Amino acid sequence: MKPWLFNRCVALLWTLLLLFCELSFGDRSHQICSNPSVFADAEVNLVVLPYVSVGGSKSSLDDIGQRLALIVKLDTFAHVLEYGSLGATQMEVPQGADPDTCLPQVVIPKLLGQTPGADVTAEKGKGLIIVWGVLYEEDDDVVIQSYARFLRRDTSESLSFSIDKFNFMGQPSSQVVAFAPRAFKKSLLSEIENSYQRADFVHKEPKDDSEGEPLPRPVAKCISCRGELTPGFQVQEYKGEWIHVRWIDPISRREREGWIHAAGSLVGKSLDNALPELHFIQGCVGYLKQRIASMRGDTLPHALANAATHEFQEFINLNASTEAKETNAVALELAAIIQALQGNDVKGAQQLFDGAVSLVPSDPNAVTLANIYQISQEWKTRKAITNTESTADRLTKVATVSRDATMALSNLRNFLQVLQTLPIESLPKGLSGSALQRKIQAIDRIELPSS
Amino acid sequence: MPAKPALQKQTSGLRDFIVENLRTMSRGRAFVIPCRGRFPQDATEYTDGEFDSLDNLRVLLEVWGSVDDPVGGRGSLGFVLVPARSVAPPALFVVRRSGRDFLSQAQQGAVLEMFAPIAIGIHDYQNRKFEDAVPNLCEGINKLQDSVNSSRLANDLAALEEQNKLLIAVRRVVSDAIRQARSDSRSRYQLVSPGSDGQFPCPFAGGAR
Repeated sequence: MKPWLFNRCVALLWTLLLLFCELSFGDRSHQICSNPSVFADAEVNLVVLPYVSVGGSKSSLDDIGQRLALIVKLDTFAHVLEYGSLGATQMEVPQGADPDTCLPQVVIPKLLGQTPGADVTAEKGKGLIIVWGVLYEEDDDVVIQSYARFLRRDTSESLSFSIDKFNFMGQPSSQVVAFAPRAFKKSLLSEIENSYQRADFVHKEPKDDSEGEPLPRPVAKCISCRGELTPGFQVQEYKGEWIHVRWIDPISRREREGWIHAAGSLVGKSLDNALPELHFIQGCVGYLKQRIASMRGDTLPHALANAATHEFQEFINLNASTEAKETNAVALELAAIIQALQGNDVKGAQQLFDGAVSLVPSDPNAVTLANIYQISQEWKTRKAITNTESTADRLTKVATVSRDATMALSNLRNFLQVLQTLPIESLPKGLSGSALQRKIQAIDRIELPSS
Repeated sequence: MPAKPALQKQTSGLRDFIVENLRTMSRGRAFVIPCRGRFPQDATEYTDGEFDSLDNLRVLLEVWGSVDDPVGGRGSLGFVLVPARSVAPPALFVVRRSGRDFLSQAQQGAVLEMFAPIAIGIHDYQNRKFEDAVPNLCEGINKLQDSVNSSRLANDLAALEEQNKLLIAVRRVVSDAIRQARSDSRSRYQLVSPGSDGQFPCPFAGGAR
């Protein structure tokens, strides 16, 4: 049958045209998203943007999307309190406002100080996790899809392993992940609504039936942050599912305190199980804390590192039936990096790196991480490298298909140089003496285009 | 006969899920914008002239949703890979909505992001940026291969055939991109050798374990 109605289309455009398009984002001057903020003092900030409702003639923001964002933030935050030095902020826009003002590609550059507009930006080297998503309602069902980006400001997520004087660099396959679409019954949304009512309320005591008052807006929280009581909260302590917070009343300017019911906010059903991405986000907090600790020459406490690894594994368990292989691979890579930096469980870390490769065998970053970790650990323990030929072959392939060709070529060259230090009889014919030298010379002749 | 509002909403919602996926997973390599007010009347509208016009506007990929059968509740999603017109004509891919509900359709829709790296890669190839083209083309080929191998197209033989044709065409483009890159003695593609058939496959064709 001939199509009789076509919906409006969308186009993927090359770079320059977007510069023109960005001018059309409209008035953002009175919207909270237009003045995003994080806790400068916090080592890691979680920022949750409202879920955008789609399916109409135009995407829109409604109560459900904004409330879902609040629940995601509160639930995640309540599960990661033990890490310390964390901030969490939920962005909002007034009802009926243009949702484009809350697009991640608009908000994130502000938070990183790349474009003006943020009240407080993330500091260099500190972690930032941004969560956003889309929401579709139909009859009794609601379908959502979440996305997340993680980073440390002005800091590469690459990491290095060394063999003697030779450095090998790798990085996660992606710092942006798409989670599988999830469906809820509206009855569950009603429970979210109820939990929103509870989470949006500060009690005098950690009991649901104690007196209290609604949370002041904007809703943001920070733990172990110094001198940052407004516009968010400072978390004093947590007791089970309850968080003890204090804040400055925006009208009286007096300090206030109370309890928020956060974790396990859905009656009879864990939000983490309904939304496996919360496990990923919680693991991601641990990953960033580990990377920040490593920068200081420190490591995350072992129990916390294991907790973060467990969150990633839990995410994969709940996500196994979906087609989100890339996201599962990133989860495995981040868990592997935590374990590799901890240094206690080499075999476990290698299994996690290899698990990522088995999910995305063509991904050059996954292949690199698995291979450079393996050779560095073999060298560390036995001063030897097995599978020299297949490793050289894989690193050569990575060098020809990686988007970071400089890093990939450096890894290959360093590997060949390491092989030159091995006894010649331990190497296969194709990698011995003059053959190795010719390969290194071939790499040295390469000039990458400047693009 | 007008489409049921529910069906129209569902098709729009599915398109918006796919668009958000494209927006996010293109990771700054390209940008996604809604073409407000643009309503393609028919697939036959995509003539050579229309492709030229889209190309001049620097459009790589156009996505639309359509309601094919307002009574039966069928719809489809169309993808126009503008740079692919010369290598895999007509470069128009229509995927019929399948699956018992919106969730299963949205889950299937996520894989359609494969069209983005292919469009970007062919664009680079046509602009003789061979070194940039290969990583995108190979990413697209691997995802397209996954799509063709999966069971999700089992009931949509037309889409399966279209995607198979595209796969063959893009493999030819990759081989030629590597061959052309190798004409420069300083290219990193000097590190690879052709297969027994003289063609250059993607380096990780079939994966690496």
